[in-house]
Amino acid sequence: MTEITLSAELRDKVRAIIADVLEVDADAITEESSFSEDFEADSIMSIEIFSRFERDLGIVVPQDRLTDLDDLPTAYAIAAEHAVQEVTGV
Amino acid sequence: MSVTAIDVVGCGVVSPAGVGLDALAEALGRGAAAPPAAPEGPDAPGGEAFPGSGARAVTDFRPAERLGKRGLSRLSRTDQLAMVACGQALELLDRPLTDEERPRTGIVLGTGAGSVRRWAEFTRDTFVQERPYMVNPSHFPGTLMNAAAGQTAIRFGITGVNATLAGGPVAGLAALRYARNSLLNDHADLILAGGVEELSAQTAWAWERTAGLLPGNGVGEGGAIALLRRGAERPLARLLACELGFADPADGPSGVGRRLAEAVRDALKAGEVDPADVGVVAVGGAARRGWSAAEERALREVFEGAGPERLRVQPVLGETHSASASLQLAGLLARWRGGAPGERVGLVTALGPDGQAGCLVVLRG
Repeated sequence: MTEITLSAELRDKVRAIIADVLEVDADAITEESSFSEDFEADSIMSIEIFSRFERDLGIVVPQDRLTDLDDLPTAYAIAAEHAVQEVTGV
Repeated sequence: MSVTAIDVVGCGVVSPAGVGLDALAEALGRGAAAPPAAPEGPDAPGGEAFPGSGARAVTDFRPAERLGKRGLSRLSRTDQLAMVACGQALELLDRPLTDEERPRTGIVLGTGAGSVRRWAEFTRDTFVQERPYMVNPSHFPGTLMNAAAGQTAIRFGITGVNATLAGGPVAGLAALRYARNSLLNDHADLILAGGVEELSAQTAWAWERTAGLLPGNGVGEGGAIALLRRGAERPLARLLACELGFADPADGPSGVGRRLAEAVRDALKAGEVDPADVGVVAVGGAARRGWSAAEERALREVFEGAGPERLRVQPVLGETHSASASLQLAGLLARWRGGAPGERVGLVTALGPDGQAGCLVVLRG
């Protein structure tokens, strides 16, 4: 995985979307949290999170990357990867 | 009393009058509510704008407080109304259900088309959203008619009979009849039976555009859930009989009205009740253009004149479609809580544009 380069502002937005979908306070989600084990997330919620990335942040994640999302570092990494792609037009 | 009697031991109700039978009794005692207005407040139904004719939303709903915040956004308003009403009914038991009782406890709900807002928005999204995954998959379960009964059973761990009956204004009676049969045939020991109808801009516009309501009436919402069991010691009321019938909808209100008259006669006969002993009729069609008159003609025919007093819940609660018959029963129970000392027997009547008609005979507890 490439090094994560995500602005603090975007990190907060990603975290807020995840908290909203999981229906927990943003502060409750740490870098070590497992969405499924700690917050009873399921695969439908992953799709909801990716759909919110696209709708709210303009971050389009390709279908083959729509995996089950289970932790914050992975969410940041995926967001960074595709946010950068959009900016650089790759 | 014969073995065909099923008892109402409690009733959870959530309506524009508030939550609980006492709030309903108070509102019915006051009579016609203020004119319907545009729904507002944190718990009012959201989404698209309502027509100017106004509506009546549930008062004091507070679903987050009653059900907890978690998971609430995935539940339709219909699901939430059903859960609040069922939860309230369960609280009326003298103790919580045991693990042995759960498989012998059931939920039977009447509905029109489930959560209209949920399926209308979901279907619209499938056309207007850019990609398939932009249609929220968490909202799919709520598009099904039996979502409320299923979600409620999951929430309260009720694993017995689970049924949803679609039947518009008669659905509440269909649910009570189904529940009654389930108990009489020993498929369950306790059943939560009734109906819920949510308010949404979609349904409010449908009533507006079809000019379906009589002047001065608004669309309402709510739900009522009766706790039913065989042979209770001190019931609120006893369900003596529930008869349903069908007419050709092409014959219009007058044909369905004639079928209703037959259903009332059949129900009185099955319940072994003399028409002269009926003290009150909670009518179903009071707010609906064309249907109010058809229902009245049917009752006048059966009672050979004006007959017993009419209880009209619609001026207070609004037109609640598939929750109406359940709320009419709740209205009777509320009325008998402190008033109308001479009344021993009441009827709940309902009739709808699909040709269904029905009558429930209720003995005061």
